Amino acid sequence: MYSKNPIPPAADLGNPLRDGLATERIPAPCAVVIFGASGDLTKRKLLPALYNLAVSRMFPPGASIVGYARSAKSDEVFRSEQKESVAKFSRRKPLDEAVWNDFAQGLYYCQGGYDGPEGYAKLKETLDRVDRERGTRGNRLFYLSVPPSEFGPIVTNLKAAGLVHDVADEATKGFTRLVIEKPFGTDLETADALDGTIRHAFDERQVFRIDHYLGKETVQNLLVFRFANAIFEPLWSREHVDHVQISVAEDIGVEGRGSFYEDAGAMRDVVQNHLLQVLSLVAMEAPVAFDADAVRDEKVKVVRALRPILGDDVAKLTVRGQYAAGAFAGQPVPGYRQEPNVSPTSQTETYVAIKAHVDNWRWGGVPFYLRAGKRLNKRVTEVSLHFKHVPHALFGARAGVVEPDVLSIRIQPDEGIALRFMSKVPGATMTLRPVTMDFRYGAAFGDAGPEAYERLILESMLGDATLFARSDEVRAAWQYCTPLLQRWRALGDPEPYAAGSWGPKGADDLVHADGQHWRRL
Amino acid sequence: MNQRVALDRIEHELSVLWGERTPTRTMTLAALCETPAHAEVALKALAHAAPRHGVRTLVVEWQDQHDGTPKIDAEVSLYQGPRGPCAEGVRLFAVGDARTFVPESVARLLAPDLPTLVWWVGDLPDHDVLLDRVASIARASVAAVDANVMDLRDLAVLDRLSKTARHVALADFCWHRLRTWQELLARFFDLPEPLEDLRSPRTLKVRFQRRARDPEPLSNQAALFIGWLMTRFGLTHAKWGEPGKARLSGPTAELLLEVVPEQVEGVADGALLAVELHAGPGCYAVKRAVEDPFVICWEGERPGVPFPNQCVRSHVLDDGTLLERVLLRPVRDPLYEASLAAAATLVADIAPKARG
Repeated sequence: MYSKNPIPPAADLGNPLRDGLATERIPAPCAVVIFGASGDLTKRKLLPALYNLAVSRMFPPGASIVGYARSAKSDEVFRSEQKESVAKFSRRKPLDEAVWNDFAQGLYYCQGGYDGPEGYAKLKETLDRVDRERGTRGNRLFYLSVPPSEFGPIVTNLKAAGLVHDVADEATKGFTRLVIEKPFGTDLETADALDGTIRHAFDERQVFRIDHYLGKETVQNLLVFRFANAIFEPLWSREHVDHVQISVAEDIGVEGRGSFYEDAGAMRDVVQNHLLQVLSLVAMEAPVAFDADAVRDEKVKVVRALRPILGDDVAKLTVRGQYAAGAFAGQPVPGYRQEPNVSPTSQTETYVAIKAHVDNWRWGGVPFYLRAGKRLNKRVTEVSLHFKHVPHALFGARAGVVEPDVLSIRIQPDEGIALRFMSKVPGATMTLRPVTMDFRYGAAFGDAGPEAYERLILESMLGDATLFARSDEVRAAWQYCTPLLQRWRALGDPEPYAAGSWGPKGADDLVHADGQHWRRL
Repeated sequence: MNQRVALDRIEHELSVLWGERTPTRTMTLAALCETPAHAEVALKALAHAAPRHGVRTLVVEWQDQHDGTPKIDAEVSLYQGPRGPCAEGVRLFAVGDARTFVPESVARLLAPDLPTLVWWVGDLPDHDVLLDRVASIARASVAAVDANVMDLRDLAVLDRLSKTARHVALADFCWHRLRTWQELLARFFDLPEPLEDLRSPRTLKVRFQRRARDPEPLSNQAALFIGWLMTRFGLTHAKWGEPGKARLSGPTAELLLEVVPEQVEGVADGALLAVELHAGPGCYAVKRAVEDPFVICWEGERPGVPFPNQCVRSHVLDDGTLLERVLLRPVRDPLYEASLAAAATLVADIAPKARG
């Protein structure tokens, strides 16, 4: 006789037909409202990601998408435009007409401004209609795909229009969630102001701050690598690690986004968010559970433990660079100041290197060398742990130089993990040589996972904030970065480096001063 | 044609093929093939699945030859992925009585300390110690089978195997084919009102593709699906009445079942065509679209609850794709085993009698 598993007596025990199925988490039907629905991100990333969720059966029936923007258009025109974009930008090709037709029935458009209340009244009407027609039950996910300057007016007007339900009322009125994209401010002051505006309307539990790096499979795998294996964690500390390097190298320039990048620079574009997120995953303690608060509690402790770099130390422990003309892939490329919409006297940094310290029990005295830049030699994001030298040269100088072991975690491209260690060269003499043990995800798991946006939108629909930045994390990151930005303003031009190189000489000097060198990527 | 190598040269030959590249191994898959035709099936499926999981594959086939010395020899090769070689392939040829050496030969080729999956290609034998021996040597192993290519009576064989073979967990391609149907039906009951309806199931109608040759009263795939629902509703007994109709009952629920064999062009034998569950005041249906049988649609009716239509694409699931899914989580699946047991109970009175 097989085991009996009848329907449980209490209705709140969940769906018994889901028990044991491969897909155990499907979001509740909701209306995804995209502010900035006419924008590039909506076309290239958001709608393709939502459509891909529908193809992969993760988009609940009834879930709907309401595009909101200033330009006037009908639902039909919006559907037609989005169909074209999805066909072009979805990773799943060709477009499946049968899936699209049902998916498109859930696409609505609402025209309105971001400032005045009129548009929000129309939006409320539209959402009520969606609830009736599609069974979305008051569940709303507001996705702000607009410049940060619009965040304030939008959240204020959403609140005023009665479109934000309290967390306590979720069971009766449906959930309300807000998804926002970086930049979360431009320094500590503006980040605090933005957070204050958001928190006036939304509870922190309702806010999902997207850092698309956290949606990458290999970034998530950092946690698995560290906390699902017993052998690495005992080595993961000042006892054995000499230093850590984290590199976020891009080979492209500003690619037509000169005016955006002039205000951002590498610090705001990459270091304050992506790089510090990766750092916190590398350096964090084991969380008590794999849930949003437990993971983020540990991450924020790392960022708070970063030793502030102040005063004259800024010039000693950080390097700013800006790419000059050079060559990439055999072709000459212009310098940053020659890029469109960039000032010919721009002081915006396109490269940052930092010698950081995480002042806590685990990492005391271990330097974290961080670097991020554009127009570098190749596109690589990598974390490497460089272990200490062996305490005694047992095999003597004739055996060769005993290199310290290096564990490297490649986040993109060619995701994988490699361990460099010493080995004896076969033969009668005792000659040592470093070798690499290499694991590549692409070889072991051929199928690429979902794109970062698919994963993150799904998680926000599910209400799981583990892969999103929390307010205190963002604030701690700005607390660390803002003094650097302020000091740099007084330091004049960034150090130039040739496009296609590995960055300015000052970055090499930064690590050479400690007897180290940047890992060749 | 690759050159034949002796068993004790296989590891060396593989390392020569890898050259300076680092071998990738995440598990071993041993495909046991009774005939060259089965070996071709296995090779085709593995060509799809192995590169996606970095699997060392061992395809074992045997030939009855009584005029020669029993022997096993091998061919070795590497699977090519988009970025070059990515997995190892070993093909073993057992001649004559060497079939009895297969388990030991497989054992020496298992990637150390990594999971092993044993795939008996084709119809599962009623009694063959080879599968059990290979599974035992492989320790924690998963046997991949396909109930859909078997007779209805084989559900009982599989059920017995799942209960008696301590070392073997079954991974059934047929079960994996049901995933879309299960998920689409399950999602009705994510909503609170339909969830309440599960307390009062009334009727279940299941349409399935009739086998062109030797049609049976129910397909294994349909039986597994119904078995799955029986476990969900706590239904433990099946009493068949007029043809195609049964009363399913359990301690807390009862359900009238109707099964309807049909033929739809392009659909594989035994596959589900439509499922319609009446529970409480609701009617919950998952069915293939008329214009395209590979589009599966979700349609519900219940007072006060809107159910927007939703369609998903159901691709033809060949052995390679199914094997790839099995390799993703090669572990014992209690839900499958419970559903298999329920399915075996369901068909006990309508399946043809055992062979021999």
